[in-house]
Amino acid sequence: MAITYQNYEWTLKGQSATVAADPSDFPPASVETSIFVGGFGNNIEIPPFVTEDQFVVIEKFGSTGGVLAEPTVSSALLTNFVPNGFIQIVINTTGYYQDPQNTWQHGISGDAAPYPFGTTDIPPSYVLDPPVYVLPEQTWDIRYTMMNNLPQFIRDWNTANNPDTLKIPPSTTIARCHVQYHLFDGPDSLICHQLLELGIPINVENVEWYRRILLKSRGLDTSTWEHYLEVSQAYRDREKKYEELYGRTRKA
Amino acid sequence: MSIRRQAYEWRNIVPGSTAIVSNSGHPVLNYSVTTGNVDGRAIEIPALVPYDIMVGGVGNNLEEPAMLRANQLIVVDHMGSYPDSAGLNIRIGTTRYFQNPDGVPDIGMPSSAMPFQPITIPTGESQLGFFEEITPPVYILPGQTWGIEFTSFETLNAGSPTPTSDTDIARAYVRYLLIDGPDQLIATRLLEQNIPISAENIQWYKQNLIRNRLRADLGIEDALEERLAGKERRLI
Repeated sequence: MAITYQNYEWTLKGQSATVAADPSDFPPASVETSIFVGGFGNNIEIPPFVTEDQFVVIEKFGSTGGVLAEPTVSSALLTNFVPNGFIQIVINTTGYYQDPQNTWQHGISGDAAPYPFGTTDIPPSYVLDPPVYVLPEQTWDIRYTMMNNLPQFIRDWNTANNPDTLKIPPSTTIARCHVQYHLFDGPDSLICHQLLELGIPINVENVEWYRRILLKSRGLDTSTWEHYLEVSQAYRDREKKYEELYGRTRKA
Repeated sequence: MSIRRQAYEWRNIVPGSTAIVSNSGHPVLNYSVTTGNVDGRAIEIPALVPYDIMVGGVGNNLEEPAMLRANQLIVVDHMGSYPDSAGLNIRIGTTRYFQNPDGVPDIGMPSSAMPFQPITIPTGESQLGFFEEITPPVYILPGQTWGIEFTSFETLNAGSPTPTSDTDIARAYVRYLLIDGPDQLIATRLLEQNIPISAENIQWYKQNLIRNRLRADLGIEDALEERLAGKERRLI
C-alpha cells in the first residue's frame, strides 16, 4: 500500500569516440520511438503496464528543446546535434495528442515543454492539466519523435569525408526525455477507483482524505449507496469550506 | 469521452529551396555536412499580412481547416508567438476575437505580451509573459471552424533565407482544452447556465450528477422497502 512519485528519464547519447557511428543506432526522423522499449538509448525490458492493483496519474513531462540541429563536428567527432523532438503519450493504442483536424500528431515540442529544467527558468508553456489517468490493465507509453535527421547526417558525412567516418562520443547527448507520475498501488489503487466513480479528481490529497474517511467509518459497510452519498457530501462540504477559508472559487 | 490538454505549434521553416508549406505537419529537416546549415528556408512573412497557422500556406500546416465535430468543444486559454513584432488573433468562423477600440480587428495579442520564445534565449525580461492566460477563455462550439492568425508589424525573413539559429524562425503556439463525448454535453449545460467551462467545473458538475443519482437511488430503495413492508412474503 503506497503512493509514490515516480519518474523516468531517457537519454540518447553517442556510443563511441573511436568506432564509426552507425545510423541505425539512432531513431529515424519523423518516426515515433518509445522511450521505454524503443530500442534506442536506455530502455526497460517490458512496456509500462498498469497491473490490476495499480493506478497511474501522469502529471509532467519534458524533452530537449530547440529547432535547428546546429551540428558541430570536430576531428570527426559530433559534439552537438539538437533533435527538434516531440512527445506523444499513448494509452493502449490511443494517442493523447491530436491536431485540430482530429488526426494523430507527434505531440508537444521540447520548446513548449523543455527538459532539463533549471532553477532560473520560467514555467514551460505547456502544462499537463488535467493530468492523464492510466487505469489498471492498460499499457501506456511515451513516444519521442526527432524531426532533425541524424541518421542521414551520419550517412552524408561519411560519404563526403570517405574514408573517414563520423563518431559520436558518449559525452554527446543527442536527446533527453523525462516523465513524472504518481503510482498508486495496493488499497490506494482501490481508493482511486472509488474516487473515479464519484467524479472526484485523483491526487494525493484526495486519496489520503478518502483514507481518513474510511478509517472513521471502520466497521461500517462501505460498499453501500449511503456510504457513497456520505463521501460525496463530505467532499462537497470540504470544497465549500476551502472556498470560504482560502477564497477558492470555480475557475474561469 | 475526455478532457484533454492539447497544443498546436507553428513555425515558418520548410525544407528544400522551393516549397513554402509542409502540409503534413512539422517537416523532417536535413543538414549540410560542410556548413552545418539546414537544408531549408524560413519563409518570408510580409508586414501586416495575416497567415492562418493551420492552413495559411506557409510553414507546417494541416490538410484541412480546424473544425469542431458535433461532440467536441474547445476552450482556448493560452497562446504565444515570436518574434516581438508579431501577434496572434483568434478567428472563429469569420469573426476575429481581438479588435481595436474602434471595433476593427487588429494583429491581436502581441508577442511582447504573450511570448513563445526559442529555448535558446536563456534569460531576460523578454521571457516574461508565459504566465499570462486569456481570461475569460475563448469557447469554440461544436460545428464551428476556427483558426489562429499570425501577423507581423514588419516583414520577417525577407527573401526567405536559410535560418542559422532558432531566433531566425517565426513561431506561434496555442494551448487549449479539447472536451469531447459526454463531457462536451456537460460543458454545453454549463454554458447554458452561464457557468465558466473549465476542467474543474466539469468535474464539479459530474460530482453533482452522481450525488443526485445516489440520492434518487436511495429514495427509490426506501420507497420500495416501504411498499413491500406490508406484503406477505412468498416463496417462489
